[in-house]
Amino acid sequence: MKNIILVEGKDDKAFIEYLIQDVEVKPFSVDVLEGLSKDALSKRLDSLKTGFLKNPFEKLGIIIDQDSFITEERLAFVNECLQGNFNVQLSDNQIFANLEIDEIPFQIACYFVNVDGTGELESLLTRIKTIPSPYADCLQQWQNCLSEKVSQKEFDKLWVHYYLKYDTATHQQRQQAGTYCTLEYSLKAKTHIWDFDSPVLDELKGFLALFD
Amino acid sequence: MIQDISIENFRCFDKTEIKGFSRMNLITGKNNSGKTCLLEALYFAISENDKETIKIREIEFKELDKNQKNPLLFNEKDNKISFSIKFITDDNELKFVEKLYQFDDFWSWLSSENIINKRNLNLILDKDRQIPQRKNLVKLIDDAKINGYYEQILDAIQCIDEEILDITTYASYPNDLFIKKKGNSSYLTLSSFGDAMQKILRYISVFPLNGELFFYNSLGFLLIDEIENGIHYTAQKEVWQMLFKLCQHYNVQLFATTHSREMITAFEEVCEEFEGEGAYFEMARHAKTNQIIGIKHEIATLEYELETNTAIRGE
Repeated sequence: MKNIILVEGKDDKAFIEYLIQDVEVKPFSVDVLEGLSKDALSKRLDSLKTGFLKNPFEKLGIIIDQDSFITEERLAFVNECLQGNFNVQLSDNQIFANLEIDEIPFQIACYFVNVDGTGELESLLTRIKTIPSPYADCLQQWQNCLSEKVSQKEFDKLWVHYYLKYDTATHQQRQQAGTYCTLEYSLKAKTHIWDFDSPVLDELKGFLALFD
Repeated sequence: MIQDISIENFRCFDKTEIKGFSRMNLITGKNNSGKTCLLEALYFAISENDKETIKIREIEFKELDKNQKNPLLFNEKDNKISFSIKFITDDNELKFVEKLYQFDDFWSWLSSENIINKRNLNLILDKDRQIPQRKNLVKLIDDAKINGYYEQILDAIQCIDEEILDITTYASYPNDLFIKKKGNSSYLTLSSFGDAMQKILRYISVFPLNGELFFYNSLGFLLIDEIENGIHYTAQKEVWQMLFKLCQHYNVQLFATTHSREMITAFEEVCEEFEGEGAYFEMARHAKTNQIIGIKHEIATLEYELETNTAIRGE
């Protein structure tokens, strides 16, 4: 039986798939929610439950952004989504709950992507960049110039965008930014622009290692 | 209405229980997943005319070798076939029906003369002929008029489109039907009404037995294999809308199979219009026991699965 990791978006999928290469895990698939909402997560969990006897899994990992929520709030959100289908309450993040359907055992756990208890994937990326980033860093001046500050979430997303498009791409690549200035492309062809040994990734790697 | 069915040792089924049928049931799955067998099991289980049942795969009773266990019916592992069905009546009463057939007495059971005419159970397995030949429809209308049940056919058609006032045939045009709609002084040919109308007429056309339409019974069953055949995808939603209306109006429970994702999508959309009337089942194998299972997908979940291109056809 395979393991399933559920993530919010395509960038999360690409990143987790890259990161998991260095971790010894069982065959797995990374499923994308295409945007996090209670409805989307609940329905995906409904669907996994519906098809379980046909395509069972051994472990299900739900990886979502911590954002600005405290862990208890994030956990309550996940538990609310799990209630209508698997009818289970997770006790904490990174702790597996043991379940069984028709004598097939399986486990579910969740992880909230964060840096120091807040943020999301982009927050991690800003912390693991390896190349000088004058273009992306200048966003701080832009931010200072604004009368109304953009949120940290939005700022981090913009930072990663500028890092990928201006600090680490050639002029030619910028002409086809949709192909060459994406996180997915960087994880295939420009992995040197990220430090995958950074301690900021240790917690996430530790969670992925649970899928052994 | 059938709510649940349990099947043991029938054809590809060892032991299978499927729960939660609604009025309109769409069943899918890979080839040889048991879709058609489920229709046959339903047919067998609710049929009162068992001789007819043996013809379901176009094999005549007389052609069967009585010395052989019939693989068309029996699972190889056992001599007993068992069906158990949970019905819910129109008065919300639960009713359980069980049928057990044993190979030793199967032939005596089959040759029994105690045949009850059953107008209210219909199975369409002629996959290649789901769009009717025009001349057959002409005969249907002519027969209906001669034998006095034309009004019943018109009533069924008006259930789909209440603006249809009359359907008729003309000797000068032996291969066409003519339909008159409200507000039109002249008759239009059937072809101008599109594929969906022709498909529905196909369903209506096979059921006028002894001058009565199958829809006129208190509870009917309609079993259709590969319902998408012969119908362009643009007309599929309309076919479902028509079938939902007909089955609701005449208290018919439908079980249909399909391979088509477009047909499933159309079904899901129409289920939203007719809340609580539709159910979707996926035939697959249990990962641990390898038994055939019928997985019910809630309609809201099915909508999400179709949007996200999730595997829902037995994959």
